[in-house]
Amino acid sequence: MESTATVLDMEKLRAVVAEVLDVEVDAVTDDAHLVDDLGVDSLMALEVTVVLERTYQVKLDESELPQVITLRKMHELLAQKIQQQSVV
Amino acid sequence: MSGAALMITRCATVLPPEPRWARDGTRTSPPGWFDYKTELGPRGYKYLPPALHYLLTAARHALADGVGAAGVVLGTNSAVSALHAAMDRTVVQSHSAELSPMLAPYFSVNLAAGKLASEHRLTGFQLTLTSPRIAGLEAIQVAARALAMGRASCLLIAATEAAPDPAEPGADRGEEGAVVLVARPLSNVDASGAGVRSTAGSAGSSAALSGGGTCRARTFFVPPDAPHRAGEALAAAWAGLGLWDGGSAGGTSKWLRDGGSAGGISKWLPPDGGPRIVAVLDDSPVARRIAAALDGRARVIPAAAGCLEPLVQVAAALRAEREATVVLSASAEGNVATALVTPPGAV
Amino acid sequence: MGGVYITGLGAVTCLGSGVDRLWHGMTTGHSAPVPAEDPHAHVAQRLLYAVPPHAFAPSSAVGTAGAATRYAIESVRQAVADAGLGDAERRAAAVVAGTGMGQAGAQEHWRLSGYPDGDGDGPQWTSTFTLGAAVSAWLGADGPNTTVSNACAAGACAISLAADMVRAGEVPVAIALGAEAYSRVALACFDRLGALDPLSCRPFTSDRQGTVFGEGAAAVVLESAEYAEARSAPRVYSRVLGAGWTCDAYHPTAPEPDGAQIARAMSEALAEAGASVGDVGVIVPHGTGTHLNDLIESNVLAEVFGEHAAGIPLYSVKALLGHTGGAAGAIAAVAAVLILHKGVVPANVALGEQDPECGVWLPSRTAPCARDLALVNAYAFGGNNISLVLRRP
Repeated sequence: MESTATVLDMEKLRAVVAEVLDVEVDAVTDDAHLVDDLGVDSLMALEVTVVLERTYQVKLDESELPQVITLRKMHELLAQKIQQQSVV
Repeated sequence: MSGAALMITRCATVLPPEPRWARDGTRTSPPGWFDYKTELGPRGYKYLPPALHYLLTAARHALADGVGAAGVVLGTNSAVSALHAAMDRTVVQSHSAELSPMLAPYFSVNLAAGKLASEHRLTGFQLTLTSPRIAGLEAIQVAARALAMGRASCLLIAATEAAPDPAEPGADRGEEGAVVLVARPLSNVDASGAGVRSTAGSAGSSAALSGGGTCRARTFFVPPDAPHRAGEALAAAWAGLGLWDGGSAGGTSKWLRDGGSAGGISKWLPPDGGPRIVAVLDDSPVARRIAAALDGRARVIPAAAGCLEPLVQVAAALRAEREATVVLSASAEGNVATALVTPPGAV
Repeated sequence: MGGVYITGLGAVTCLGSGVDRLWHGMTTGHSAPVPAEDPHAHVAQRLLYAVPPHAFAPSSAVGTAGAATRYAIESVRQAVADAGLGDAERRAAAVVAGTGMGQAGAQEHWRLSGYPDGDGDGPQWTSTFTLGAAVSAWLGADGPNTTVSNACAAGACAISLAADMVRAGEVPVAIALGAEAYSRVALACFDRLGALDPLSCRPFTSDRQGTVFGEGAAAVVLESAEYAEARSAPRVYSRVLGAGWTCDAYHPTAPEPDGAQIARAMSEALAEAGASVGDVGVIVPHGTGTHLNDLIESNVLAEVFGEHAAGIPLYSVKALLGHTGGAAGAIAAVAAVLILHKGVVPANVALGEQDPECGVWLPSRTAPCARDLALVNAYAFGGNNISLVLRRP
């Protein structure tokens, strides 16, 4: 199975998220809690969703968002979606 | 009470460098004149329309000494005009799903004052005035009334504007920047020690007005299909501001008896000068009628696509050494506002 | 304190034109939103409580003005006629207009179809917020003309500002109004924020999923007691006794969770009115159908009214007319005036099951308006709060 690292580059994702959140890249550690540590509120969560969908050409469902509490979880979910989409 | 004076203890402006308009009245700010990351900080201000950057920067300067739970009266016409145009294009050409959620709330123009309030925990109240062209000066009158009614003990009077969308009429007359004044009722301030302490930052300047300057404003309306009433109404407004001393009643009634339209205000201004008069006017019939009544006694500044310049002139008058300045603005639709400004230490 | 008299009323809503139509709609409780007829609005939710086409004949003075201006002038025309204002009063009147979007709808139209030529000089810059000025121009008035754009609180703010002008003795008569018409940008932004309900405006219900916009305008004529008596005003509907203005200073879209500033607005309005919670006969809530607003407002009403809460009926205007933005506070005030005047709280629009967490009394049958005061709440997107206290004369 293809490693998720080749499906979706972690550092690129980190940079994208940092840009949207308007924080330093260093602040977006793999396990930093998006809400508690990075101050993501519902409006910002929506913004992140819109940018990720556009950047990675995936569709994210509202029900999937609560599980995305860290960058690591986000990476897992996105990689899964990208992989699903490539299997037509 | 309208026409009552306010004490201004602090005055801050954020403006592009001079000259801010060309001979023909058009305005284009030099690119890069304002960098929000430098003025506000590298983080946390990304999703704000430019007018809010200007406003928050001016407020930072004006509130350097703190202010408590003040109220805010903000005037604007075009703070989110360009944002509306951009959002509209997205919805028409694509879909609302393409709109930035973080920017979406700012379609509502009152979010400018709202963001200012949350930034400085100003829980007094906020009013966003959008009267065409006069909202900045009008904020002085509304603030005075609110203070007199006890709705707050301290108020920020502000105006902010940004240029309209390049594709819209008047885009070449867009104004950019903000003014924030800190106002209290006249009686509340210790008037000892007059003077202006000014500081200037990269895009903004601020002045602490120890001893306080004062300003008061009145507004009225000239129906565009009856612009001949403009001079008479202006005379009445100036009488209400206490512009005429001593024989003010006589002066005004003489004006009204004469019909007001011929001869202009020179008839009743003192021959040795009187206050400096600055009028921000466009080319509309209402504004031309006001200009005619001013009889060449005013410096006329070409109006921009907003309400900022008149309040900028108030800020300039507060820092001036002259005794008093009268500032005026008018809209093509009929709104007229006029303010009397005295710098600190003036009688 | 005597308060400022309300001597004339006007309204334009999805029910049609005129205050009689509004009251009839309130007592029969039927309305329905329709899909906004804008082919350029690419949005997920597009329902609107639209003012019906041809609801009234626009004044010929209105020219190319957009819908919001036409609604504004019509509501003022009704109010001025209702109050029997003569030429002198019309000429001296101050006008305070509340609107969130002003002529944005018209500008959205012009953006696509071309801007109107300004007297042959080519299109000129015009502010979005010209409808207030259009009212004074139509009246031929020379009093102060102010437009306030505190979003969903604007219409109530306009009434309060206008009442303050009369109290301060600045003008003998002031006309306050709120007006709002369809705007593609406003609809799209609320759509983007997920704040729109797919079915209808269903405040305080368990299934509510957001608000639904409405169009409309409402106007009131305000004057001092002395002036109304001196000119023998045909009737006094109500008195504006108090107002409370506060600000959350919390978050761009989310209301302050403990509702402290909403509570303060209510308390200050009652204090200014020299009244207590037990004097209130009806509450016209802000109630929008968004989850948080309705919950927080319910909690605060319970806290402020305490043991009286269970006995004070609410009339939810937005369930009938949708959320009319800058007009909402003015329409709510007119509805409150009608309820006080008729002495009756109409049955609330029948919606789904009420949310048990929203412990407010929304009578499903006609109830008496047993006391003389009405409390009207209007809370703006962005954290501006206002409460008005009105009194039967």
